Amino acid sequence: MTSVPEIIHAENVQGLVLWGYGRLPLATYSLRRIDDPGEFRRWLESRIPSITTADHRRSPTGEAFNIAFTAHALRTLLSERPSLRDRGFSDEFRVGMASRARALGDTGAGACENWEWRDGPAAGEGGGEGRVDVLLAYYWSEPDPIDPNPVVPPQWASAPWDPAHPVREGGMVEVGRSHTETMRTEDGRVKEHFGFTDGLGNPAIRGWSRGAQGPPEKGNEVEPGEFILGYPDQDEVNLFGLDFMRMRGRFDRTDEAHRPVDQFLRDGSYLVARKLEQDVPAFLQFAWSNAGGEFQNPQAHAQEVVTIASKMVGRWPNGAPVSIARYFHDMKGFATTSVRHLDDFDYAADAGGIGCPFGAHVRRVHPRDTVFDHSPQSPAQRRDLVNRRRLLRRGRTYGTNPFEEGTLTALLFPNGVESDPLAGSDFRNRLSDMGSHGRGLFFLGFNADISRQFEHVQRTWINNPFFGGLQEDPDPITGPGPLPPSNAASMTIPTVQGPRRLQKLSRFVTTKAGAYFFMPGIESLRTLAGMNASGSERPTAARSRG
Amino acid sequence: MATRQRVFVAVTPIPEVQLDELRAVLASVDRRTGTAPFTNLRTTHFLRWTILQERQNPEAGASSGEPRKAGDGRPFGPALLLTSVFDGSRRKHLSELAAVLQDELREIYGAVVSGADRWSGEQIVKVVRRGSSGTNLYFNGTHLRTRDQIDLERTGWAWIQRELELPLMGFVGDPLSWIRRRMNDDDAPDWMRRWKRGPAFPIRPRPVLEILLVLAILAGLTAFLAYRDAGSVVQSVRLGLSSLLTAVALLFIVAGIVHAALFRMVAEKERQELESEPPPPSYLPDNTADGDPSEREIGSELNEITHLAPIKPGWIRLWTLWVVLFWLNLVARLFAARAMNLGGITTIHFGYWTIIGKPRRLLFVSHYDGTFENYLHDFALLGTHYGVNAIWSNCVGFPQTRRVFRGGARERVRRFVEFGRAFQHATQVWFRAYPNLPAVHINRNTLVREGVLARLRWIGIRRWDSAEKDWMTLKRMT
Repeated sequence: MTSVPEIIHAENVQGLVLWGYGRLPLATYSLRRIDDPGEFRRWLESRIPSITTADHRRSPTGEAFNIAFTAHALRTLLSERPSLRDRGFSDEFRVGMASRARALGDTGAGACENWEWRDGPAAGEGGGEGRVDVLLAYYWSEPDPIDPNPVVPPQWASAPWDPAHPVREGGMVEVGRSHTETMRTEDGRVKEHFGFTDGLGNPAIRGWSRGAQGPPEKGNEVEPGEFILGYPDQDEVNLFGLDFMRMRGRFDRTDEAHRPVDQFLRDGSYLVARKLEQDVPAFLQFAWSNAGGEFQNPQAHAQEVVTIASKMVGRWPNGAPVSIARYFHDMKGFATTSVRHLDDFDYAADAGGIGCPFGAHVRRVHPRDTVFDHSPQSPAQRRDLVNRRRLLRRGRTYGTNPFEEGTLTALLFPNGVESDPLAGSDFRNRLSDMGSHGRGLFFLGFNADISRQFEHVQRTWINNPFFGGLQEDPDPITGPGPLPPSNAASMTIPTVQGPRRLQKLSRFVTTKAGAYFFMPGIESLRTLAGMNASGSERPTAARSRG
Repeated sequence: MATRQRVFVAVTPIPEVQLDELRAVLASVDRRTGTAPFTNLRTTHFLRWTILQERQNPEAGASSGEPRKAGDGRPFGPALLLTSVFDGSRRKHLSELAAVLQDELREIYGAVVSGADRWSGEQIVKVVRRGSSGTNLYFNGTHLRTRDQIDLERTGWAWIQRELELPLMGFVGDPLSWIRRRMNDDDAPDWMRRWKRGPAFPIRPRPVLEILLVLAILAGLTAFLAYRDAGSVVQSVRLGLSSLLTAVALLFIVAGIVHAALFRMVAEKERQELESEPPPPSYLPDNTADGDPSEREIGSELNEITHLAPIKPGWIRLWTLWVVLFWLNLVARLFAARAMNLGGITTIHFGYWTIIGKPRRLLFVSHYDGTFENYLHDFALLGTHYGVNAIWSNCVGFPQTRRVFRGGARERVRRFVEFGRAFQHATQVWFRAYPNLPAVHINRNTLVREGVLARLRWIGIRRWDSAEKDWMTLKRMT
């Protein structure tokens, strides 16, 4: 395999875009509103040196700090001319997620009127307390008693959130805060609240091999321009599978007059932030009741519960893809598989969905080479198209995890899968102890085009009841639940005996807050702080071209 | 007998003073599209009324001082666009509209043409027809299915779905045998008999064969004419074939030179516009009274677009547009409709492009499933982008192409979507015969019916297989 020159200007890109900070398990996201732009500029100028860039050989350790802005903040901090539109900011970013909430399926309890914070006034409101301008993301590692210089997180990052006494600092007032902690199972895999392995499915970035554990999986490599502005994207180099642009040495075609990218946008990325609350008891109860009551054998019933939940997710609790490990006992074969190899699969051998249902969550959010109904494309073409819809996910779970055991399998089989499962009464007790609120996912996703990437995934794949030729089947995990006009929602699981339809699907994930941010490059942060007297222009000679 | 789904397009000028009254009438009619008399229409798939009204874009052309001429230099409209997709002949369709929707036509056109509120439906239709025009490029994603057939196949699919969802306790064998056995039960309902009797999906010979057939006829004619001079049959056939080949070759060469010259000139124009020329003035839809078209799309799986883009000034652009639309229309009719997709886009119910009015505008009207953005992304990201570039690069506001076919929508997807939104007109009245039936499902229902009924003739096998998942389609029970 030929090596690809690194064209990313890493010292100018904020670290969170390219690193997930896997070595920093603790994180706090502070959402703030700018009240005094002048004071904020001074504060920003003083903090720029401490902002973590992507220029590290390995995933950063110790602590990391990054910052992102909503369109409202940029309008406040940048000069009026040129306007955000003239600078090239997209429509979705400029209007904000709150204005797009209905289109994104955030209705009912998840409607933006009920959000804790948002990037714009909700419908019918004049402005409001919940408006957020800035996202401060602070990551740090657990205190190490033998470390002579342990990391001391700032007071706001480690203290619990008290809405009555919001932090006021740097011309900002805090409107929301989320503490997150990366939870791991005994075998070291990251887990999430529904009892499944998380942190899988991120694309590899072409030309960026720092921290990689090996060559990227087949078809999982995506051009940097899909996530960072000012770089070639999938289209520019993929003509007939040949790297024409690279062969001709034109790495950065955005320099051409017909594709102007404002200097301010370069090395920046759009950041989609959503606080998603997970109703774990409702999800587990749904799987339990749909496993049927006809089983005489409790062990078979418990296996069925895990199977149904896994078919809804698209992976087994230990991360094994259900398209390959089709039956309960098959997942054992993936117990020691490295996380990277858990992603090394496609749906070529599962075109009918017998392994992984079409409606399963992971197949919807990343269909890989799935060819949809009557489409004339080949699986390879399909994969290329799907790669234009990718997101770099950097989200983490907030709230207490309901499983001390690790995963859903461990919950239902406390003494191992070969022994007796949890009794029904114990299961119900566990559910009532868990509570439905206060835990979820703080979703963070980077992309270069919110409409083409995040909103497409959300609207056309997740919320779409007709996805892949289905009918009344929205995403069973993060979908909008019952759909008008029939007010029904279901999940279809194909089996070799015939289809199995899980009826009366409800909503297990509710949006509690959300905003579209822009995470600028370091030079652009200086512009925001008023440090660049000449405006937003940056000498192009400073760019390294590998 | 399966018939082609046809399109009716008619534009009627609206007196400016009547606009507010017309909007109120259209809003009132739109609220009734889900009930009778609209539901009594039997041949109509879709029916819409849209107000086309432009205003000059104050930003465009500002740098050049005096605005340049685009078309004849004034905004289009206000005009009322009536467009419908129907089965059978246009005459029958309009008669049905006149008979079934007489009151609605009186209400609507009474606000447009003075005295029309007292006319009969036939008289109104006669006036509307005066403003009708053909389409330059038309594609239908549910080709050759009548409304009745679509309804019937939907019922059939729902029945199969229920049958296969029953607990198959003790059932041994493949689902196809089960379905066929149930269909042949004595108590099979009436619709099933019609479902079984209905027309097979018409699969006509490939267009290559048709083209060869036309060439063979031409060769025969030439040979016949040459027989008088040649004297012998063999020589006349030789002479006929060689003259035909020469004529065809010359035709291709001349057509090639003309096309190359035309596209060379357009490519040069694109380059000049990219480098120096300020953009010509564009005219945007005046949506101040109609609201945001995107609001209507929220929560709806079937959506529509009415897009009216000003054509760039000069005869080269107009000729190029005609030529491009002509060739693409040929491709769409011969290949795409049979394939049930337009260059890979399977969510399209229908779409047409037509050059209308004075000043000249390119009208694009389409119904599709899913979101507006996804639809335009498909246009830009799939193979269709060559055609999309060739068509809309002749319109104001489209992202610049490189040599007409490349660049454009493909490279600047976001700009292309913005171009789509910028010239989109809100539709006031929209009747859909099957609002919750995606195009993919219509085609799937047809393929499944054919698969179940066909005794797997070779052609059936081919089509059944080409549905990729054949049995999986049934088993998946979507």
